[in-house]
Amino acid sequence: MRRIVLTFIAILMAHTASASWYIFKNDTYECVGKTSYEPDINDLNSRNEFAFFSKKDMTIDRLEFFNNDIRKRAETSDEKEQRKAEAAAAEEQKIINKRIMYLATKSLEDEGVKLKKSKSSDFK
Amino acid sequence: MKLRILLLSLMLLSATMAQAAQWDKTRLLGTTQINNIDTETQAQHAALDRLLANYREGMKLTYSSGSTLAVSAGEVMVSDSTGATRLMMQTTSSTNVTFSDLDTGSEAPSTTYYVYAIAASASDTTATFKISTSATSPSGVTYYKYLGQFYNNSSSDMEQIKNDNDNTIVSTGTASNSSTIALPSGFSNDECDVTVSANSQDCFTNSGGIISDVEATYSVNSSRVVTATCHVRDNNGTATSDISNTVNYIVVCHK
Repeated sequence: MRRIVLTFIAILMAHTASASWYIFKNDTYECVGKTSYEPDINDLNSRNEFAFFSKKDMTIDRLEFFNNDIRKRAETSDEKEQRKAEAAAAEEQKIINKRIMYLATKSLEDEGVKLKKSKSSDFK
Repeated sequence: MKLRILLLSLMLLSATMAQAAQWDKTRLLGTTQINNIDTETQAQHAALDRLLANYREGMKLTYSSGSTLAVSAGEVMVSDSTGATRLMMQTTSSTNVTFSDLDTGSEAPSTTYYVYAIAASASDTTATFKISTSATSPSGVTYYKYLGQFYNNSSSDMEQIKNDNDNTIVSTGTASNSSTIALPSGFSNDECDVTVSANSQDCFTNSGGIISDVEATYSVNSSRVVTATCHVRDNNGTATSDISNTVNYIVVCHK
């Protein structure tokens, strides 16, 4: 049984560690995709792209080609602003949702409706 | 006039000879005249040769470690450079191939190597293997068959192993919105099918309204161009602009 588990883990590790061809734009060095099988060079050339093989397992967002390797580029100021704005909006939405839930459950309790899962004090 | 008749006769003769090279189940019967046996045998051989000259079953190259390739058991036809001699070779178990099988010189980093099944002598029936920088023939070997290639990277590790008989492949990956999914090497668009699913879904609004709908699109068209977008719509029907996302994809190609 232990052997089966170890074999499964080994297979899983082998799978997650699989290498990829990362595809970049020739002009910006921005990563647009990655693939497990060697891409066709003529197909890439037709879109002004190139492929770089790497054993690193990385997501393609903010990935760039630099010094003959791949790396995550730093966030731009716009991206930072966007991330902050998203976080702030999410926080605000959380407060609003809590108030909506409080008002709704309170109103139902005042009407004598017995709620099984929620009570207004949970949202105060 | 005579010349025309002669040329016509030659054309008819060559057409007949071409037909004769086809496999014929009625050849070499017990009634075959002894003076026709050589001709008919050669015709059958020519047909078999056409079919089997590039035969390979199994002998798949796979990664074993940075310094070792595994070649699975199988059968292969190896030939000399002219194709005059064919040898049918076999291995019954997986064989490791390392740089000790290099045909000449020494291991070089950042180099593409080609792998061949070979017969060390004309009397051998068990295939052995050679690595070479030559894409056409290994050095110092008479009978060989190309199997595939690999790249010896800058750290002298074997990678990017490719088999010559990869007629069906499955490729997976990730692609961003508006990008085109790359064709696998050696395949055309018509030979491949692609399907995509969501990889990341970022839908954001700071409009302050109540979100009534999240509209996400993950698709790929026949030219392999990806659409991976998401936007939200508030209770006034106002939609935010599309946010670009990414897809996971599977490409299946067959030729």
